[in-house]
Amino acid sequence: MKNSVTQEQIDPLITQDQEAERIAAAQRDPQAFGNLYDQYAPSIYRYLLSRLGNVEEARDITSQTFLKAVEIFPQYRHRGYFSAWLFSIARSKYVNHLRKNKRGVEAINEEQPDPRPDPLSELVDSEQMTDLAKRIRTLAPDEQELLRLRFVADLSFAEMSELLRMSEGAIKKRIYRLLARLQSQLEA
Amino acid sequence: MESNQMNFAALEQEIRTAMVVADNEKGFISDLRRQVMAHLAEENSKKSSQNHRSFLRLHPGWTIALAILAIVIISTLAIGPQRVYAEFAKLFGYIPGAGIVDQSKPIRVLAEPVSATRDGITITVTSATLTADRTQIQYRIFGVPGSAYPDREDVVGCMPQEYLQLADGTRLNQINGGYEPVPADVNEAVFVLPCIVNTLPGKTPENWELPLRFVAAPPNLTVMPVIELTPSQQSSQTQNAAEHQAIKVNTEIETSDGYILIGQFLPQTATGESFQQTGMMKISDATGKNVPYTLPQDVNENVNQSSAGVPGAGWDVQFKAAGLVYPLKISIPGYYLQQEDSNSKAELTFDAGSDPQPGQEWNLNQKFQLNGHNLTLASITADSRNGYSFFFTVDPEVYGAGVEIVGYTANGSGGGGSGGLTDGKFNRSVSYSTLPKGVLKIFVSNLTLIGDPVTWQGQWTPATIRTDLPADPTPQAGVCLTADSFAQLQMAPANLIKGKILVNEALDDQNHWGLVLYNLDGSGKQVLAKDENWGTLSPDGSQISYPGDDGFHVINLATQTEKVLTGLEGFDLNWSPDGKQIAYTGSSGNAIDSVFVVNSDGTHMSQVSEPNYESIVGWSPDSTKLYFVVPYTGGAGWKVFSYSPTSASTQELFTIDNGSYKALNAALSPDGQWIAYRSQQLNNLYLVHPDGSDMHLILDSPAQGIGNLEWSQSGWLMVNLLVDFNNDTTMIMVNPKDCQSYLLPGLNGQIEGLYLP
Repeated sequence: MKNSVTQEQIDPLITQDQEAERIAAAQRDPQAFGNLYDQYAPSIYRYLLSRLGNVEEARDITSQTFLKAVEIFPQYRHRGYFSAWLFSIARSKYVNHLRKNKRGVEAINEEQPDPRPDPLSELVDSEQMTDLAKRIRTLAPDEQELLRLRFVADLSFAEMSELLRMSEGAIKKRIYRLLARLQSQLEA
Repeated sequence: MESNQMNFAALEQEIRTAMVVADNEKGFISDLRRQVMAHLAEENSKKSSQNHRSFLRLHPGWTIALAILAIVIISTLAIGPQRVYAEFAKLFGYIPGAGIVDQSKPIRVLAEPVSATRDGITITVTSATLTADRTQIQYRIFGVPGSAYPDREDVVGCMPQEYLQLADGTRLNQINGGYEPVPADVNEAVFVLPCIVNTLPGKTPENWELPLRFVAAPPNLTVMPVIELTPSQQSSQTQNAAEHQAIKVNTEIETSDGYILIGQFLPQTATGESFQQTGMMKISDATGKNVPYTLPQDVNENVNQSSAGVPGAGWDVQFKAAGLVYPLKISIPGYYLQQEDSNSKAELTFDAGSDPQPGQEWNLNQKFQLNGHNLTLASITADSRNGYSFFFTVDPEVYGAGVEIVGYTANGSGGGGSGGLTDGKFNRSVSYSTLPKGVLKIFVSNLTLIGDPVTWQGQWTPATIRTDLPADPTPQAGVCLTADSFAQLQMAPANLIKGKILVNEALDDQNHWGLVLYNLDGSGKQVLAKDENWGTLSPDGSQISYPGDDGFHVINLATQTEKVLTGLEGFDLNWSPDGKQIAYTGSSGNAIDSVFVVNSDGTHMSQVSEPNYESIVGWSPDSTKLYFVVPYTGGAGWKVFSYSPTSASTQELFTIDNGSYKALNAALSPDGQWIAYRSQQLNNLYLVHPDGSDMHLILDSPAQGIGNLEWSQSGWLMVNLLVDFNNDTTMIMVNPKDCQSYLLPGLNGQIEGLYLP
């Protein structure tokens, strides 16, 4: 029989204040950083994998993100959302990665095929999902990023607000509008 | 309504499926954890070693800093705390915009602003502050065309590392929000900007060099005292109850009109107890008067330093102090949460079938009890991560619980929702390496209950009584509303509120926002467009327009008919007073949020100018000029322009330096005389003539924030005020001509349009 899940693995409904306690604990005892790692590593990795579409690169950037986070964690100042801080490091590492690989400028040429495997085509097989994937790819980059942060990284609106420096209401409005638009396109 | 929600839920699942790339991440996540923890141990070991060495071999700057600290400590012992405040204040000072600086050496500033213009782009170093610990440089850029930036988010332009270059070749790099200090005997440096941030290669001039000259700070340079408060002083000001010791003030800084406080929030909990903050900090004085505050941006480094390694979260606030009665009471609302017996669990079963699919939903409505409390497992949804999301409705006292599927090891989890604090529901998500299927046994355990509400508190009294602030807050000339007068504001009389207002607000189901029209007295609610925003009400109140996905929609309110100007994309529609043209903010090619003008029948669309992130201010009364603002690159100000559609010419008018960097919310009065806009602090409102003259404050920090602005044809200004961070906005109306001001009861949405005969 497989092991049943421990409470530490599945739980906890992490509230902001429980998170603050975890952060405080990690600042007292570095080994307690492991709890924060457990909480965020999967979503950081999925987010980067969704952006990069390449497992090895996503693993590399995820590693860089957490190693950097460990280095500067003593200076971290908790003002609401640890996730926003961590994702800002991940986004920064992602940007640096593109710069180092000089892929940023190349990618602007729409006619030049991206050498990376298409993460969507590998996964999507049904006709409807293919249609949705295509429509997502035609969205503006910032709209794709909203969807990615919301539905891949599973950030709350408040966390996205902190990360993107936009009001929570504005993010909600944009996402709901985006969903409505995608829905109407799919039903057309 | 219900079916739309259901469809959205399904769509969200499909988006997850479409965007998440499958990978068995568990092994990697586990391996990386070991690496991260090993790295952490190594970092810790290094720091420990450095700490031991540091007493033997210190950087000269730290030697000075420690010497200063030693003086402070010795002085504390010798002369007592009150005197130390004064001595400490001499060592560190606060300069607005530069933050807390070491003033142990003479402070220098930029002799004069320096500008360079190349290819229509101007970079100006506007100020510099040179202190013993760092160099602050402020510069701004204007004129970068939208075509210089990538048109995709995954394309990244230049990421410059600007620096200062001294004559001997020394390079001063960025540190702590500034640059390394310029030696005391050096009064010249070159500010080097390798490229403009995020621009593409070859699109803008690179390697900018601006020669700077520094001079001694003038005698009237504002350097305000910084006072570190001792624990003993705080304990004398707080009470014994844990919640009364949760908020501590560590540093006070005197500003010209009040204070900046830096502190920590340190809630205490018992074993098995946690807490949930449910609102933002509130400050009131000894008479109970609310003290509006803003969040200062120039002391972040100090808040970081004060919080490093100390449990609890740092905070900082800035407020005006005239007329305040001490001590100030600082409070944060919340609830204690209590973990119930972790051994208690409820067992449920769920048949996922032999081939569950992502997005598939099962409506169960299984009622059960856990630790004597009622819960209902309302539904389960399979997601794309080989997992399930469990949606619960619960008794109002229940905060949440954990979920496990017996026999399967989860590799990820999440959850959230209201936590029961508002509407008694929460959800849990659990994912696995493979999606469990068939008849599944589910344990629900680790119930968490909402405990008593709590208000964590702290209080603060200035270290010394200031004599430079008036005992009574006297509004400066031209100011119509302050925090004091806002507290006394009366409801608008019935004869004044005969009009209509268009708002964007949450609709009845709370899951959607939409455009809603009200009579100004709050009656006559009409939901006009669900999931839409950026609406506008025509000057005569007869039409509503808003940008839809298929073009600009125009609703005739009298006939309730709607037409669509197809092919137009954008937002912030502004009809010209003569009704012949529409100005709007849109995107085209590389232009992001640029201003466009189109005939009201949808023909002859033209782009007004190329810079990005422009914002429309309004049309002149005769429809011959359109005013708009363009932000400096990276903020720091807005340039005001006018555009003539007949000659297709643009004229630069003046710069707004004190406006909100985020969203200026500028609006032109219907008589064309005034532009109203939000300040940098977001809770002040200014007026200025369109030629840049007579800039003055009219709303002086009446609340925490100021939102949307709309003028009526009769000259009233309608404004959203954020009274505290916990509640909906309050609407007020102000007549800048005579400062009449009133509350608008019964209206809470975001103002989008106004008609007042």
